[in-house]
Amino acid sequence: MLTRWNDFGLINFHYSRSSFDALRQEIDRLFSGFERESGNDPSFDPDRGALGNRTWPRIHVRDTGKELKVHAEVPGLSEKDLDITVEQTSLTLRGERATEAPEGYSVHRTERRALKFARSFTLPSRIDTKRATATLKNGVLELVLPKVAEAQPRQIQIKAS
Amino acid sequence: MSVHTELAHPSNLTEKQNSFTVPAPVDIYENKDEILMIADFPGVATEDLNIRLDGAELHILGSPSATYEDAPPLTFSRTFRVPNTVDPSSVTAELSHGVLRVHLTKAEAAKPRRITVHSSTE
Repeated sequence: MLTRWNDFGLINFHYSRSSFDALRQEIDRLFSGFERESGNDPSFDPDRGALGNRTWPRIHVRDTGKELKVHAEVPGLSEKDLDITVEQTSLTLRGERATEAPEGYSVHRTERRALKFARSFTLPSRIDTKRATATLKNGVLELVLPKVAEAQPRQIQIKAS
Repeated sequence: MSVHTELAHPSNLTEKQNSFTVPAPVDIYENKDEILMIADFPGVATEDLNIRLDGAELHILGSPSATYEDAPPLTFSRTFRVPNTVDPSSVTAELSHGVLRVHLTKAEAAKPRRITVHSSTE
């Protein structure tokens, strides 16, 4: 049996519960969205869509000392679909993904939604924007943002008095 | 005809120990010749992708290789029950920009067929 998929997870209790209960459950689900970020949520329900109410794209930021490394999961996007703006202390990613519903096919399930996104970050240290680089591989964008010299960690020698 | 889909218990699928298993978002389309599955596997290279047709179940697992060096390892996975109209020997898959497309070709016998009506002469 094919049931209609929707994004709000309300389908299963439409008939068995009052709409108030449904609303409450939906609000609980919104607030539990943070746990979902970890990706290991045992209560994951595929009928809610794997994207759920999660922020897209998923981003990892790391500080390696000399530089900040940013990884963004952007499957299906090519160079031309991404717009990256970097300032000394901020980073903005913009992009758009179109649905690739092939022609002549009927649709059974769509979890990979078409979307337009913009995410901005305040960076934890000042970076040298001229040396910033971006590469895209297997649907993952990697940004290497070198820190300015003053922001890099420095070893301090102790002088004997 | 319907495509039955389900998420198998993740612990049965995890191949990398102590990794996080994340369900890969999937689109499923169908035309008269095939069922087409499109799934997101960001950061996964061809050699790190494992597609297995086990009886009527299609398992897809993939781990991004070197992308998240110091983050806990991730495994994207999904399991689907494939209708028996699919010819198991004809399953093909391609990966591009972190997006996997799996073509499940229907067996000849399962394809819709037009039946010609002959007029009977007396």
